[in-house]
Amino acid sequence: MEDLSNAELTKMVDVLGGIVSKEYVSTNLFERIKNTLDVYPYEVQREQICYAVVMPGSTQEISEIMKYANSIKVPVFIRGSGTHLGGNYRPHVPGIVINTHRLDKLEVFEDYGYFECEPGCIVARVADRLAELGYFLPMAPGSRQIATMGGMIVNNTSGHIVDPSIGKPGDYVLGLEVVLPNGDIIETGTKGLRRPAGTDLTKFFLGGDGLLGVITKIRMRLVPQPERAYGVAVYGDLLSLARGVQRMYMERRPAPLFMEFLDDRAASFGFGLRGLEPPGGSVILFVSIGSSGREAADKADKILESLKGEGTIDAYRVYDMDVWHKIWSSREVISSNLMQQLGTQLSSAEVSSNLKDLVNCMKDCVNFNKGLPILSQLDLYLFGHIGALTIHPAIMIPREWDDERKRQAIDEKFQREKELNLKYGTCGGEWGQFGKRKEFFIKRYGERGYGIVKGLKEMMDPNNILNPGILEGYR
Amino acid sequence: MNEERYVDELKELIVDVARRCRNCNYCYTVCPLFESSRGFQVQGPSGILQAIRYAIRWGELEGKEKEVLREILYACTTCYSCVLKCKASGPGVPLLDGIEGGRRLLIELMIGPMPEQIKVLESLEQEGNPYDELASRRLDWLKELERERRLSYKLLPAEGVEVLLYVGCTPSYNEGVQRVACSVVRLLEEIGASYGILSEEKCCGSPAKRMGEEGLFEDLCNENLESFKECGIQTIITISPHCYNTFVNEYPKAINEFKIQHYTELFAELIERGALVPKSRIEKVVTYHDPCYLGKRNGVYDAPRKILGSIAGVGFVEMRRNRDNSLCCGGGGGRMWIETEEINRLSETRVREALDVGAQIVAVACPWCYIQLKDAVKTTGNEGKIEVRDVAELLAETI
Repeated sequence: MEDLSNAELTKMVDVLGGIVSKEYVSTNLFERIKNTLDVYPYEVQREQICYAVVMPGSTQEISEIMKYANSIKVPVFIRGSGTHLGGNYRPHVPGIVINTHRLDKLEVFEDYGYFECEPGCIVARVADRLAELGYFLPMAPGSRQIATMGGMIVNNTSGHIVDPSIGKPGDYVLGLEVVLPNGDIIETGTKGLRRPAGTDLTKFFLGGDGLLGVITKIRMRLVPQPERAYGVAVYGDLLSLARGVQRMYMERRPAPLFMEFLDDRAASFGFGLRGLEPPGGSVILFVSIGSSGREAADKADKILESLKGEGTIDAYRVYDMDVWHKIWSSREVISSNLMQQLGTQLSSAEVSSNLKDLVNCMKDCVNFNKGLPILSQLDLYLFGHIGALTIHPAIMIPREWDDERKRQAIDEKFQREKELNLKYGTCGGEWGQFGKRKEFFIKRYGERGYGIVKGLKEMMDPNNILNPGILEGYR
Repeated sequence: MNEERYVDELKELIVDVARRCRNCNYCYTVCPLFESSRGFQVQGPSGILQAIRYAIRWGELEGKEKEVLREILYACTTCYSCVLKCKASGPGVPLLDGIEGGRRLLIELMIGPMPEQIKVLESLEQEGNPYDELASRRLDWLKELERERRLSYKLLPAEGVEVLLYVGCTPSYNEGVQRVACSVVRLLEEIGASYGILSEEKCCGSPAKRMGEEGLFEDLCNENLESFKECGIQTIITISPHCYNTFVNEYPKAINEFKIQHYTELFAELIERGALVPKSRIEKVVTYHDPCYLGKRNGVYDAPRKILGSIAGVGFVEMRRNRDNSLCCGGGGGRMWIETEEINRLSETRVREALDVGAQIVAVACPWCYIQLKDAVKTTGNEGKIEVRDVAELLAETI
């Protein structure tokens, strides 16, 4: 599309100001730059920068913006906190950025058994509010302190939660309010606790990668806060660790809510940061849940029975909450501290295994960077959500590298991730399917599969106004 | 160093700091500016840092964007929360080095400071204080106090005095905060300290440093260091956490020959040793507001709490946000002298947080927090419900 003239830009800003009020429209160059940046470590280019950033305060305002954008054929990009790890956020062409910051209303309806929130609500704030009332938010992204509910639902990601334990957030979404790309507003789902059987419009938008509509309200079932029990297992090698997880499933143990793993080096580093002795091997940390403390404890004990086996150095329950917080937080601080100590930028891949091949997949991840021109020069750590069979090979990119080299490293990472997910018949379960993963999607589901999504997009958004580039994989 | 090289080095420093930022945006969760503004991205740490980075990279330091950039850079309260957050959860980017480096750059390029701050810098240069007050009136408050009681301080330089009470500009000139200076003096008298006050005290240079006027800061710094050495003192006690931070973290190494203490550290130590005993009771529910430059920047969290805890009758309560998670009052970073649009005034939020925990007194240990919060008590219509008192005032009241 051609650049807008100054007169067209002025008119656009006037119209947007009329919709959301002038103080919530910014044409400030630096605001526009920041709203174009994402977590990828290379600079944005002038030709990517948006025309204006708007912060609407209501669904109606978003609807009017979409109608106007269609009338002048200018793209609209929806931005929460811009933390998407699959590269879905960074726009590649100028447009209007809708920042959801002001849409942060949260209401809990205990008498209806659900809560409703707007897309700009921060995950941690929602989780904390629900916890105060004795409920549990079924999502736990690493970026919970800044990630928005809109971003989570549009990706249908539970973050670090083990899917076989409680499923995806979408399993708890009762309904949505959505602004369609043409500006129409629809409501999906139900106000009851029973989700629709048959066609449920919610599913077109939930985990829809932001292609088909702007989610403006989310209704989710209230989930009682479960009781928890905690455990640790230490292994002499990563393959034994993977076998332990396989046994857990094969022996029909109840899946834990969280089950993280750290390779030997990451574990020693993380435990050291929290003043703990090095565990002496690679570790699994897990959290079992139940409706009572006893049930959670029974489940944890059963999991431990399976985790114990050849190559297990130690496997035990943790009862002291201070000790547990140290252990658990050691996982949380590894990435930041590695970056600080090594002077690098960390970039992870997301490799998912099928259950049967978990050991082989782990072997492949140990060799993730081998034989690759750029990645083989870089240090590699392994950690991830092993209970969900997800491994994050984390590469450490030197800060001083130029943008081109960083870009090559990240391209290689996605390429290798694609090969492994294809090999094991899986897909990313945490970061969405398009953006930098478009090529994977086509390989995995074929041109026909991709064509279905494209067809839907064309039908719903004939002018390709909403979030263009995600489906095309430009980013 | 010639000017051109200095500018180039500043640009390199800023771009280097900004390149380390991974735009995870965790810093926004603790940023008082972001919390109190409309919430545009340039009203938060990473957005400010990226603004100056791209201004340099894209040659936007001239032309129509420069004033926009100035407003962005000078809105930061420099509270340090973002630096701590990034260290705890991110790549450990020293965001404020980039932001304050940006201010220095704008000064060099004659874009900064903010227009309202120009007279502040002129006053610093001419009168040694940022308030456009005569240097000759700096000790008026002390003379006033001397009319009430006999004081044993010596005017420095003088022989045989080990401790310098470095009063600072705000306690010297601000009528309200003079009460805090008087309280500190009363407490020093109570313990029988051999102490002195500079006859020609000048600003520590913190406001100049925060506004990016490095040359003026260095001049003040050198003048103060010379004067400290001339006095033969060993310890410097400050009233303001801003002076404290400037001496401890921003002065040249020569400052290390002196022991620097915030008054709360000195009095907490004395209380612990039994050398200072609060006598009367204060039957009030008291909370404590951590000043950013004492807490987040220097880790002094316990000393003021120990003092409050030593006063009989005080029912101490913590606010929801305390210690390294404390909310900035909004007065730092040179913002005392500029009008910034605050949708939610930080000091008013803080007063409400104190009321939420049932406090009758919110204790502070910083002149600017004192002014900001006192003002907020009035603007929120809470006079009579809650009082703002300095820790020194409360302690002195018990003696």
